[in-house]
Amino acid sequence: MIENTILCVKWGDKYNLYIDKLKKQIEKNCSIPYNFYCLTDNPKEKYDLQLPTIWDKNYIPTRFWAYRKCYMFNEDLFSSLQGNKFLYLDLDILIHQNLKYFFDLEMAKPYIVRGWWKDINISRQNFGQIISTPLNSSVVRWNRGQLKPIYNFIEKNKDVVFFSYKTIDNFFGQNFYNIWEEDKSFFKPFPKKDVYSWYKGNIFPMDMHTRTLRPDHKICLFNNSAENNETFEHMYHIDEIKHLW
Amino acid sequence: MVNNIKLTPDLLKNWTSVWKNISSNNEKHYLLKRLSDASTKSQLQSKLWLINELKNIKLNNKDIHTNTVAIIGGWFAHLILPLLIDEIESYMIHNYEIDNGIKNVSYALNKRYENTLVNYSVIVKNPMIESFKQNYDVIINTACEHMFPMYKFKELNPALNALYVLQSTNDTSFIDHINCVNSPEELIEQSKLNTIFYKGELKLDNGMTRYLVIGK
Repeated sequence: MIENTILCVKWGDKYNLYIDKLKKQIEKNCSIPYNFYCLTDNPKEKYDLQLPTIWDKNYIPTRFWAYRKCYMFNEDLFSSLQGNKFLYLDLDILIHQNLKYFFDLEMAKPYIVRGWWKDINISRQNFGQIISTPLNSSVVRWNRGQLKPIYNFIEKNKDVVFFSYKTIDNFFGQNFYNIWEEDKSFFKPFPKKDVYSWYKGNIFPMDMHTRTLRPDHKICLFNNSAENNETFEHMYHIDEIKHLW
Repeated sequence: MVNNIKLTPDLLKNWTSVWKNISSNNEKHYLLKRLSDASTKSQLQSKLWLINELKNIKLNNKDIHTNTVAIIGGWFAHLILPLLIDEIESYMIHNYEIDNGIKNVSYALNKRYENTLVNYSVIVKNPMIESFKQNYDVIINTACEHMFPMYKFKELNPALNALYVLQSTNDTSFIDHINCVNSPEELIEQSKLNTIFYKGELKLDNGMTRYLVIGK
């Protein structure tokens, strides 16, 4: 059995064109055997797995957006899901380097993107308002079962969770990350220079250039998917990356 | 009628020392805005209103006690604490906060109560998710607009026979006002209060309309 599994999640049709792009990037940038699955509300391909719908009734428009990503934290919901080492990737990313790196990480704790481009003091200032989380769930790495506590927490408190959090990243920031003592968190952050943001920069405050490619890093995030994003642009419309994507 | 906080030398010493400490430490500058937001005329107006109504209810109801108080989302609690202690004889006050970052600042602002008969604690937990481990005479939530409706709290703590003192607003212009109401009646309804001792509304100095309900 292949241990390494790469997942993405897609619902609706806004990102239809991205699946193939992501798949090709992974083929080009992963030197070890892996399973690939897309968890989707509309399975069509061999690699597609049906997303559950159990939380649909809890969804309040504009709140706890992208909740469907959290189904993957309970692997038992997907009976044909193989592997024990999971790497989740958002669809709107650019992969620069070998993904083997992520599967070789020491896994005492699961990993999530800590937006190093964020000023942690702004996150602390706004903590009580449940905004400005330093976390970003565009790339998540875990071993089977490691994120089940998050699924269980949502399931147990779904009325409060769906009501209270604008995004799943704000939810993770409040409940599964210690913004005051980061090394005591449930999640471990990917180290600096692994993942950066096209629109927000790399590391606060010294490297905040936006719209800059950093090929010596592993992954570039575009995070274009937030609901009500008025400045939305598809990756295939961005001149600087057309030739890479 | 209570219309001020007693400005004692120790209160002044505690507050000044916190402001000085935050202002002179770059690492703590992020606290400045939060502390100034928590120290406005409107903040004090709404706390004085609450204390006056609570005091009236206590005067007219011998069964109402206010010795032990839980504040939900009390933030720094530097305005409400002296009012509770000086005006309605509270001596055990627990401030339930989700924000660990306020804990030490709140203790420093209220340092004068250390080593006294007053027991003040900041307890970091989300009362909409975890139930309380003890009883209180009064539950105060002056930030209902920031959280899930209070009926959830009552469901989580069915054995609690406390007096609820709740404030909210209809002002939806803040991103973190996720649960505004349009009247005291709506606040009563969403909190599932059965016996009402007081309900009213007040326009504060900052233009915000706030609602106050007190009941069980």
